[in-house]
Order: sequence, then structure tokens, then C-alpha cells
Amino acid sequence: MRLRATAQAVLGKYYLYIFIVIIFFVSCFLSDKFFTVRNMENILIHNAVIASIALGMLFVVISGGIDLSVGSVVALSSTALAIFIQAGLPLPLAILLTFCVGAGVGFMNGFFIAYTRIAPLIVTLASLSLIKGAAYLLQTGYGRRLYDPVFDFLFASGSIYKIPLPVIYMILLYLIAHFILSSTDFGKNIYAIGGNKQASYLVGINVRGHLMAVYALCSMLAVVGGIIVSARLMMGTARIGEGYELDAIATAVLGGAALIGGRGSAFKILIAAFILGIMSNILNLTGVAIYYQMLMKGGILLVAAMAQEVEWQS
Amino acid sequence: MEESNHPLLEVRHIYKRFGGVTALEDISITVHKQEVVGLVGDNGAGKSTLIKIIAGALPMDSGTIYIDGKPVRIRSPRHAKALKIETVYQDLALCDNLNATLNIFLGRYQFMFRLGLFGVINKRDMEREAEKIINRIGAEIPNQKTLVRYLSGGQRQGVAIGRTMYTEPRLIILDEPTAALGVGETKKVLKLIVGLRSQGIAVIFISHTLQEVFETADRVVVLRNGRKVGDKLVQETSIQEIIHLMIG
Repeated sequence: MRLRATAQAVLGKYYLYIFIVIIFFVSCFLSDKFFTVRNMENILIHNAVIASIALGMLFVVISGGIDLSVGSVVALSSTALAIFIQAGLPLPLAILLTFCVGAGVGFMNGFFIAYTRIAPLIVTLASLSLIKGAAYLLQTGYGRRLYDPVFDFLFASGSIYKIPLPVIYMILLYLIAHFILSSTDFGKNIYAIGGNKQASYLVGINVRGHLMAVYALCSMLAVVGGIIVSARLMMGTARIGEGYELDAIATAVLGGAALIGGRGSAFKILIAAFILGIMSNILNLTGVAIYYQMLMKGGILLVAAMAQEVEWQS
Repeated sequence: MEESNHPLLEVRHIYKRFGGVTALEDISITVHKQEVVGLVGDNGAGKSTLIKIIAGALPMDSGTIYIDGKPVRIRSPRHAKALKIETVYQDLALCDNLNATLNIFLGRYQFMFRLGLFGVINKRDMEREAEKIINRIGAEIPNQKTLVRYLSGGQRQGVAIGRTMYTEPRLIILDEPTAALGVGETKKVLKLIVGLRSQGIAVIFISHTLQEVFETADRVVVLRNGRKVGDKLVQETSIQEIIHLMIG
């Protein structure tokens, strides 16, 4: 009896780490191409995109909401960036403006969520269509080519000591996010709002302000993902980001963030992103059809949700 | 200089109507420093309305409020807090997903330093302060790091009261503090209330259990249908008499 309780407790608390270790070793076993520098690089870079978006989603989910529009923001940021660069703006300005566009979308989401009683699900669902439509409108013809050597270095092929730059950005973002969530008033207020919005309001926390900030943050992190993808593709296009919101949500849930709000930590999201990334990678390497991959993803998500239940019970 | 002759709080001739319904009619009560007052009455007698007015959550239609003998108009909950009046409502307004320390300091964290828009929280000092507050009021919370959702009803009440202590209030109002508690927990919370008095804090608490009021309070005020029908020292009355007054 005690053994079972202990096993449950250990499993509940450490399931993520156990998971990733198992997946890693199983993958090494399944394909000799897995544990190669080239492949590891691939995983890391692909992850940098999803992990950034998932990080934004984490903040929103902790606050008790959800953001379905992140995929569309990825698309919009790609086309917007292309427009700015092709208009001749210097790269730093173009990137800054793209982030402003993302922040604008986020503030718009946040405004409706904070000032009306419409559920975040609905607001961001509407945004999803609106923003995607806007992205397509901005993209005339086929994609806009984006070739700028500095841009390419910074966001696609550059690396420091063999670590790709996008991965370094991802690590930096996660460190900052972890710090914010664990040690700042803003972070604790987000948890509070997710736990009991009314109580937060009664003690004087500016709930509306925090909500708008959180959605703006989420969109801006989606912009990060959009910029990296655009750099890899060397073009600005609205045909990217499809389904990213679901991946981001799955990552957040797998990483222990409760969709009702009030729970979640940055580090676990990172591990979750890697788990899903490694899974996709090994399934691709072993030639498994995409349909099985979808089944696996769904299965993993269910198992993760159940493991969370176990953790919460103990 | 202490205004020792004036009562801490005095409300005179308070009237409050909601549409056609008179919730409070000509209510006058006094609360002295370090006094525990039990506010009793049947459902709909006006108890909640009265304390909401004192807590600044509701405006009164007419009447005057005096604090330390000086007339004041309590404009808002924040203003009430500034006047050193703190209130704990029935739902406690706690964040279940945070621990006791964070709940006590919710929205009023202690900072180590500021970094632009963010304030870096001084967790260690906050924990120490919280521990002091918890010990002062006598709440028994063995591990401050436990999330509040795992605490018992009495411990949660302790955290909610602890939050009000941070501003060193002179009057704490409790709305049915023992309503959802079992026998053992109720005893602990009542001990807590008595402890507040020995800290120099006056307490008004609403209760439906006369036994508790007689065990804990110095005075009992009875409302019925919006009017004050009784205001007696606990030692000079009996449960029977109070029941009589409550139901008329």
C-alpha cells in the first residue's frame, strides 16, 4: 500500500523527466541517425520556435486564459516583417516594428478579455481568423523573399560555439520567464489572478492591466517564433503557423500548466517542448506516417493529463 | 496622544434602503477599543449590510460614523483600510494555488529591489514576517509553504485574518468566521478572536451560533428586521434573552 503511494508520488512529480529520458534512449535505439550532431541541431532549432510560442502560452494559461491566435500571429509577423524589410527599413527597426505589431494584437486580445465578459477562448478564436486574414491580405502574390545576410545569421544559420543562435534566444527567454514567474510581483500576480481573480481584484491588484500585459507578451513571443521560421524559409509568408496554437497548448499541458489557471512553471514547459520535439523527430526519422504521429501526440497528451491528476491527488 | 475617552467606533442613526426595502433603520452602535462585539440576528436582519457600510463597501443613506470621536465618511474599502478597519468576508478571498505567505502579502509584496516595471520579491523577509503574524494571532500553520488549498478551514481563516494584520488594524470585522467549520476548528478560530483582543484590536463578528458569541464576545448586539433590538454586555444577559430579542 505504501509502495503504491510512494510510486504514485514519484511518478506524479517526476513524470516529465522520466518521460524525456525514456524517449531519448528509445530514440537512440530506434534510429542510428538520431544521436548525431546534425539531428540534434535540427531538434533544437525546430524546438526553439515551438518552445517560444509555448512560453507565451504558459503565461496566458497561468492567468486562467488561453490564446488561440498565436498561430495566426506567427503568420502575420512573417508577412509584416517582409513588408518592413522590403520597404528598405534597417533590420533592427523592421524587427522592432514587427514586435510592435505583435504587441498590438496581444493588447487587442487582452483588451477584450479584460474589459468584456467574453471568454478568452472566444476572443482569441475570433482573433485567429482576423489575424490570419490580415496576414494573407498583407501578403501579395507568392511569398515575399527575404534575403538579408545579417537576418539570416541572427535567426537561421548563426551559432556561437556550435549552439545555434535561436536556441540561445530560447534559453535566454526561458531564464527570464522563470525569473519573472518565480521572483517578481508581476509573476505572482499572474498566478493570483489565475487562482482567484476576484480576490486579486479585492486586494488591489490591477487585474485588467495584468491581463492585457500577459496577452501582449504571448503575442510577442509568437512573433519570436514567426521571425525564426521566416529566417529559415528565407521568406515572409502567411502560410505558416498553422496549428501552432494546438502544439503550444499541448506543450503547456504536458508541462504541467493547468488550463483552469494558477499553475505552471517555465522549466517544465521546456522539457515538455523537447519531449514533443524529440517524438516528432524520431517518428520522422523512422519513417512513421504522419497519421501515427498525430495519434501518438494525442495519446501523450492524455497520458500527461492523467499523470497530472495523479500528482494533484497526492 | 490616545483619545481614551472616545469609543473606537461609533455609528449613529444609520439608515439604508434598497429600493422599497429598508435594510437598516436608525442603527446606532458603539465599539470600544479592545472589545469583542458579537453581531447577531436572524437572516435578513441587516447584519451584513451594517458591516459592509462600516467596511466601506456600501454607502449609507443617512447617519454618521465617528472614529475616535471624530466624524468620518467611509468612502471605499481602501479608505476603510486607511482608517485601520479591516474586513474578512465569508469567502475569505484567498488564492488556493498560493501558499500562506503569498496570500498574506497578496498584492502588497515586500521587495528587494525594482527592475524597471517589475519588483523583485523578497521572499525570505516576507516568510519571516508572515511567520510572525501567524504566531501573533495564534493560528497553527505548521508549514507556511503549503498551498492554502490544502489547509483546513480554521487555518484558512487564520491566513485570511493574518492578511488583515499586516496593516496593524484597530478594528477587524469578521463575517461568520466559523460558519463552515467543525467543532475543533471553531474553537481555534474563537481562540484567535480572543487573541486579537489581547493584541489591542477590537473585533466585530457576525455569528449565528449564540453559544460562540457568549463564549467569546464582551458585548452582543441584536438586530431584527433592520432595527437594533438589543445591546447588552454578555455577562448581563442570557442566550434565552437574546433568542427572544432575535425573533421578537
